[in-house]
Amino acid sequence: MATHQVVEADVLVKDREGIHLRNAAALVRAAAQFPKADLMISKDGHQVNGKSIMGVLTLVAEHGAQLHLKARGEEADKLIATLVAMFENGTDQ
Amino acid sequence: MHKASDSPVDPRLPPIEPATLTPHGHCRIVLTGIAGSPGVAYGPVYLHAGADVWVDNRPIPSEAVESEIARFIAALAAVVEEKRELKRRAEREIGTAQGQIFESHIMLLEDADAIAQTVECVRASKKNVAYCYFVTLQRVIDTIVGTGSYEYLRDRVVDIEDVRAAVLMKLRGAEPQGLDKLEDVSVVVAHSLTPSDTARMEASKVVGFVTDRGGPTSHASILARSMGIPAVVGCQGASVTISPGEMAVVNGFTGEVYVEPDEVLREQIAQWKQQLEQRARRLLEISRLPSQTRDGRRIRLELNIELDSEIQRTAELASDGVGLFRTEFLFLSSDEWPTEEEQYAVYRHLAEAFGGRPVTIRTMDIGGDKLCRKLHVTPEMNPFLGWRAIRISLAQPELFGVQLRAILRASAHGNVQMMFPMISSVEELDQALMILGQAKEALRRNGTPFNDSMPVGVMIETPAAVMIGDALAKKAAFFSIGTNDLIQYALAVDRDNQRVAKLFDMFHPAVLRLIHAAVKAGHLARIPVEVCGEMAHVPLGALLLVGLGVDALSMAPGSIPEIRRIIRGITFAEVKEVARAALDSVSGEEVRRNLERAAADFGLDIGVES
Repeated sequence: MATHQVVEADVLVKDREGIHLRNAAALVRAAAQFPKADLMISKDGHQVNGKSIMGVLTLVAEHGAQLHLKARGEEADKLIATLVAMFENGTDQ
Repeated sequence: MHKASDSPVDPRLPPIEPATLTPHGHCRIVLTGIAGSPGVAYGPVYLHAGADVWVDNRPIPSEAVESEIARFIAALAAVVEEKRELKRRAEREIGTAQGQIFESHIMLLEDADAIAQTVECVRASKKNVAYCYFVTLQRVIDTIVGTGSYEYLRDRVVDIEDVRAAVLMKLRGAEPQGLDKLEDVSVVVAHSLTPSDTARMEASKVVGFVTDRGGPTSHASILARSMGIPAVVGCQGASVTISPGEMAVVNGFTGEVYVEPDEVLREQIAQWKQQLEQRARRLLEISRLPSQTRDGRRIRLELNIELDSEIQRTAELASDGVGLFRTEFLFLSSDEWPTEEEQYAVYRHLAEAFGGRPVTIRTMDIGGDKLCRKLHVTPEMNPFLGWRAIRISLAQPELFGVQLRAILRASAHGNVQMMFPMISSVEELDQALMILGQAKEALRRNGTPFNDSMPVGVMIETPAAVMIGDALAKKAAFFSIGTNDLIQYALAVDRDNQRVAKLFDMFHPAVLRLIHAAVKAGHLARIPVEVCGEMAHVPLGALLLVGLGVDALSMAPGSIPEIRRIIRGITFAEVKEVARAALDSVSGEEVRRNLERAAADFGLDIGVES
């Protein structure tokens, strides 16, 4: 069991409105499906807990922002894959 | 001045001013703001928790720490429950998008980091939990505000503030009602009222508004006037000075609020209300008479309205139709754009309710102070000089097409006209007309009925539009002057900035010359010119506009009887002279003085509302 695997990815915020309340909620909800993995998201050196909606909102990720995702723990790979897919398709679904 | 004596009805009325009113010393406190909507209301206060919530910062004894934390957890759970209920209700009544907002609110409430930080703050600082929660979320808000641009953030921060306010109210033991579930008839006191607050408001339960912010042309004022309820705006500190459940008198004539009046003052208010009701009855009598000057010039009096729920009620009033049907509410009251069918249903209702009378639908005028979550996501330094009204419509031709098709379809059911807001060039008008042509073509292909010769007018709101009035008039069926915007663009004054609001002067000779030029350009092309701005409902403004040759005045329903009375008391020949002199005046003050003198010569008492 790869308990302590660390998986990272860079993503781009494609939504024209950036990350707002509704898609922040969607991201946090997606991340919550992997309860045994931690998620940190950073932008320009500012790092937040990706499982906290308040944290994600304080990223102030506007359209075109580059984010770095870093997950650690069980199913970290699946967590990152899920989020990368969300960012690919635009997070505001 | 010569006075004609053929007026069949005495234009004099019971006065607006109360016989006696001595608020000082007869209530807990007198607050002074800006008169937003005339009238006087008395009732219990409903405090609408907006963005700013008062919170005390006090130490708690060590042994109370755990119970303080338990109180917090219970408050969170209770608010989550309320949000769930709101979510169910929103999904049922409005749609899933609206429900999602509450879902996000629940996530904010259940945010583990925020809860942990608050609890830690209570343990470490031994401060009350309301204060700790307040500062925890304030850190989040400050981070967001400090990092991003204002426009981007405003909408995001609002939700955090909303959630925080709900929790703080719960901790204080106050019941966090929304304006949508007002149970008693109330005076609504709020820091500010947003269009979405008021869109969800139970209108029959509100007898008056008091807001900390805003001016006479802010959203709350316009809405209050259209509902015919008194309002005091720009009343700084009102929402923290007045407590829920206190009794308050809203004096919408002077812009004062009397909190907790004693028996003496209550009696004076009751008498005043009687006097105003008498006056209203007299005005109603006058409203059955035609709106024409003593020397026979007919001035059309039309309504400015904006809500579907207003249509039925206002259609029963004596008016010449609707001069301005605002459509922004359709676009701002939900997270989803209104569909063609939804819009068509409202416009058709409007057309049918007014029968043969013309109804003028203005295409959406979002922007400026009416920002939309979906469109205004990038910051604008100068929203009033930015992406608004026709500029948005032309940039979003599909969205615009949906609205145009809905209006066209409604034109088959009554006397529908349409106008474009914020036109500042001929190209814009051409483009809008081209998209209109495409919308007609699409309907024609489907065999959908519409009125092919529906009159299409242009709003004159920018000095640019006035300067090219001759060119616009060739392509327009009518002009409608929006005085609020025209004044702010001509005088470069933000009407809601309290430091310069004084400079917002409708009688400034520059403004009068612009209006005069627009009227001339319209009449030269033989098209009618109408005014649908605030100036039309101010008695002295209406008097002057008639003198300037305006054909129709459009205003909030509550102002019609008073303006009808003014028009029936004047002669066109004389106000034309007054207007001519006004164009050559050196200051707005001089114009105002001359207008007051003219009104007095006509024997018209002009109330404090001007």
